[in-house]
Amino acid sequence: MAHDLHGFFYPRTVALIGATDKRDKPGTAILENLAHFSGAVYPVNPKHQTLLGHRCYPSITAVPDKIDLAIIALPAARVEQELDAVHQKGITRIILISSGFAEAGEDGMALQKRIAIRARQYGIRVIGPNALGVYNTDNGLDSFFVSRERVSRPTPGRLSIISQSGAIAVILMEALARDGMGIAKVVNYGNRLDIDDADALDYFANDPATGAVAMYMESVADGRKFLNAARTFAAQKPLVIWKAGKHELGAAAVASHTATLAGTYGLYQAAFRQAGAVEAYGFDHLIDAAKALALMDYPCMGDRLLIVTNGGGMAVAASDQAQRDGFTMPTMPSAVRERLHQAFPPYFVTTNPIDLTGSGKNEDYETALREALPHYDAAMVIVLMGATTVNEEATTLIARACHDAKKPVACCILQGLGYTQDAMHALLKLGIPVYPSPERAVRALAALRKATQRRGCDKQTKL
Amino acid sequence: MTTPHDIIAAAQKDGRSSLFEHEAKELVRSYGIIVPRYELVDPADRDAVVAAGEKLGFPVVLKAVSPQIVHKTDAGAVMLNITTSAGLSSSLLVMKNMIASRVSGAEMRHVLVEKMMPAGLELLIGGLRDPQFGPSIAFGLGGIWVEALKDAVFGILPLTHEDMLDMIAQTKAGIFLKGFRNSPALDEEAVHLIITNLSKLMTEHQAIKEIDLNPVRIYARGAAALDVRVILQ
Repeated sequence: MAHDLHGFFYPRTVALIGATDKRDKPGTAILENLAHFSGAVYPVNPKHQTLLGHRCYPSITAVPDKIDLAIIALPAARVEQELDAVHQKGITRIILISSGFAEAGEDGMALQKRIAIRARQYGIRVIGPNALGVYNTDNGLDSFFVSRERVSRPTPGRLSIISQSGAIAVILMEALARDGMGIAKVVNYGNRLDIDDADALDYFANDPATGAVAMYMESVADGRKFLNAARTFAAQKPLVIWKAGKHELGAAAVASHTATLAGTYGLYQAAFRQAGAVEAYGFDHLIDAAKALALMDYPCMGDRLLIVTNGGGMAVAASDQAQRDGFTMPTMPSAVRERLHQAFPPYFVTTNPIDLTGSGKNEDYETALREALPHYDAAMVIVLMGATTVNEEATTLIARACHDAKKPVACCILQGLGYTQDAMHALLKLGIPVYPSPERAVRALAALRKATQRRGCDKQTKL
Repeated sequence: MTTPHDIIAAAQKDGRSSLFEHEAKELVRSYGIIVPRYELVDPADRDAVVAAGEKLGFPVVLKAVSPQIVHKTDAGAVMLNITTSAGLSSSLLVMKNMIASRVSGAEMRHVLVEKMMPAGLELLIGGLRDPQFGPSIAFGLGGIWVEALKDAVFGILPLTHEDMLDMIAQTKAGIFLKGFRNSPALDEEAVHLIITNLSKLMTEHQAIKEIDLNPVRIYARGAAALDVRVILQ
């Protein structure tokens, strides 16, 4: 049941079976990361009396507390036996970090099947095997065996991540942390012995801390279960999915054109479309779209894009991308042009794009957006910080104009490493997604437009 | 009138994993999908073949029905645009010879004499059973462009009306349906009806593994499936 995942994210007590202090062992990194968890942590390893300041127990059954979640970082061959002890202790949720299961050949597959049967008999829910597990900014729960000195952890936010790949989960997490983008929760479900992508979607649909989900997948076991879960999720919150990997068709020659064309990817695309999810086509695209979907409070109700810039060349690139992504760029209504002419020096361009030139000031951005944004569906705002007439204050004014008009805005901020970084983080905190290139900013708005369209669809009677 | 169950059962009993063209056409016709009028004739009876052409009215097409022939065009098993009785008679001979030289051991069980339909936009509309996503529909530009253009998109059953519109809107075929410049708008409702009926057929008959309507010709009014292939589980 979906609500079982709540116990994985909000245990009061966690046992780490296979905790250790040996360098490069998962059990070491996980124990270090669990230091940030607000609940009680119980390492289990017969070789140690204490570990990292915790009392260490010789077996799970020796732990003198009820355990809500057990993280098992033992070699695959020992997991089966450990399950009996876990069951004896009355534990009903485990994360299996260990690899060497279905991904490791026939023996591993057979072992995984045996574990699955036994876990089901015992009524134990399983994330994994071969999984990093869960990360929760709400209570600091972190079962990822990647040390914090190598991979930064993000600040709290509304975006949650579901990933089939552990590596991608970690890289996504860090890329978002680096960009100052907050995260609610992360789950890497590994080999999907029990808990799968659909279960994760069901949980996040009901999780008040989650406002949007970004997802990475390579394959799905039960396509219809996934489609239903994705559809239920996307009806409530935005969902963006990056599907990677190719699926080879079976060898048998088939006469019909339909099967020849199918290739599984087309069906995944159908699933995403029917679910109302946005599809991302790569790593950057996933992150960019996720930022826009998680941060932007306002839907993109149409195709009319406004571009405001203080450097004309950047706006040309943005216009190209706008066309590619199906936006229109209607010219400025003449009444608006009039008012802008009165407010601005004559050499500012007041069509669409609005070009404030290198002499444009912070307030000019606010004026431009206040007058023009109500006549468009979205705006992409470029701020070249190399111009000394603008500074970080522009971000506050841009954010205010966005919230006043209640229209989606994405920013593109360029130049000046440290300075730019601060400005970008400031915008994110104000709820405005920001990007280091005009194309990425426009593409992110296109993802928002797509999400608005797909989720706004009224599903009627079934055929 | 044989029921869909009967048609499928007969083929299974015959040890076949696919339906003959006329069987496939009867199957889809029973689900409200329009196919050209045809006569099924004994290929040894040249007079009957000619009579069939005259009964249907020229122009007609001539097709061979053979368990050994999978791709009719490659095998020389389709003769198009036959406009006279004499032409039909000689086409029969030409076709037999071509097949004999291209597909050794081909058993010609029947021939189909079929009304030739006017030219029009050609679509592919198909059904398949995916191991992960279950029964699904394929849709896109059809005819000889299928493999070159790969215009097909998919829909996972059950499809809502919105799903179906979205699906069509993803394709180049969808643009043609709407019409542009010198091309009139085509009968989109006829397309919707075919997709709906094909969905029903796939859902109600688990024995069907794949079904391929290609080409479906779409006109300003109406549509017809010119070739139908059905593969059984």
